[in-house]
Amino acid sequence: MPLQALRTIAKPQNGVGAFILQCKRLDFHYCDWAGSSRGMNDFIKNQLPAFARQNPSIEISVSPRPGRHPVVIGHYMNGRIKPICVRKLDQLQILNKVSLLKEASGEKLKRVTKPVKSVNESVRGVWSPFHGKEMYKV
Amino acid sequence: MRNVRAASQALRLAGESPRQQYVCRACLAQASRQFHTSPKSLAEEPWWKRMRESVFGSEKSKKAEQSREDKRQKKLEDVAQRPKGELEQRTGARGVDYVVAEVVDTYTHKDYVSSQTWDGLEMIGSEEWVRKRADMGEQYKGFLARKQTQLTNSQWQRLLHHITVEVLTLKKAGHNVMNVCNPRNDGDIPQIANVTIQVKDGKPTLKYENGVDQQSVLSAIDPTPEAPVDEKSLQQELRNATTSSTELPENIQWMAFGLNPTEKLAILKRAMQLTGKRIPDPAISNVRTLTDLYNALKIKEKPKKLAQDPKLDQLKSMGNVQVHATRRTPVHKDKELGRWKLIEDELKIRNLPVFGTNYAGAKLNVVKR
Repeated sequence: MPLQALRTIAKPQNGVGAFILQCKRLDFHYCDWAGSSRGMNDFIKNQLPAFARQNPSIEISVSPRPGRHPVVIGHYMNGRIKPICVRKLDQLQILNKVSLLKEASGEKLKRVTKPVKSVNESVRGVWSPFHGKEMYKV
Repeated sequence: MRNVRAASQALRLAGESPRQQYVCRACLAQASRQFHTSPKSLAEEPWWKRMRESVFGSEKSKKAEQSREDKRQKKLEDVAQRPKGELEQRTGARGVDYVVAEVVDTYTHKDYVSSQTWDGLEMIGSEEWVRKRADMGEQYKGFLARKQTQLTNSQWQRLLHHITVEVLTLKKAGHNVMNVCNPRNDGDIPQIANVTIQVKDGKPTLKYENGVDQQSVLSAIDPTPEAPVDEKSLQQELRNATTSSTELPENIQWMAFGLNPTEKLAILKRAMQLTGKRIPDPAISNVRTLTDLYNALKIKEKPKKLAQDPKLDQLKSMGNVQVHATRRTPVHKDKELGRWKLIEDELKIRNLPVFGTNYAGAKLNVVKR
């Protein structure tokens, strides 16, 4: 049986070929009475219909939580959730927070220090002292 | 010397470190009272004089005592001059007649034995006293309707229109406006709904139309009632006032006129008599116009919930949106996933509470925030 080269299988990467939004669900909680929910109530009335129309892949749930500050909770593909308290915010500020939740991957935030991050192997390979043209001398 | 000692004690108390033994407030106050920075010579009265007054009484108190004694003597003389058995009668501030108890002079009545106990005396504020006072034979007439009637806002408008027309007609004819609460005469019922109230410069005028005139309105009201109003006729009067084929005015501009206190009382009293609805005293005192009265009486709109807002209809119709009117609980989540049935069954098998706790007194000490 002739020797076959190893076949590299393409690893799935979100955004290469297809992009699946990682935010799968957004919960909007408000209070009918409290003043801190005024902006949230305006947002639900004025901004949310357009947002829901633009993002049909996100499941949206609106429910009251009497006597509590308004919260937007994002649920992600990796099983994590991200809640943001939007007390006293106006509707446009809440829209920014919601788009932030929508675009988040669900991962914990990490500091990025390297300019490039890749999952691909290096084309050049790993250097070895035994495989050069000449023996490596120290 | 004593003052100096007291002053030094006060200063010592004030200046001592907090590690010292506790000194009660009374002792501190006593110490500070005895401490004077002004010299004794500046005191209005010398110490010995004040002490003498506190023990034997001042000139002023002696005079007051003498005056009381003189009055008592004068009263005894008056009693002696009065025929035996006759008691003094006095009329109080509100026109109530009082009989003043007999004054007995223990010096002149040698057989008088003063009481050693309080048996037989009237105990003010006792339970028996309250019961006696409550039933002194007064005949109270029931005024409010026994059963409160719930009216819609349009019915309130009709009723207030009806009563206001009657009150203004009585006023115009020079009658007592409080007669509006009198029973109605049997006979033709005037169609008061046909009367229009026109408001010009904050003053109302009545425009009688369609066979209703001032006389017909007045003749329906009994000016000198002999019997109190009965419940059945009141209910009939309420039905007459609130049901009419005449359309209501488009707005409540006809109510925008000021009421004087008598008119306000008459309208409110009649409304209370017919419907049994009461409004709080502060609301009554804030009523200046008929509009205010209507606002106080009408059904208050409940604050609107966001879930019922018509702007959310579009949102509700979207496929990816769920709008809930009530709070979502973990039980809802379990129900959506379909595992609630299992949880419930397992809890029941283990004799555990499905919701909350099985202990009856669990929420007794819960302080509601």
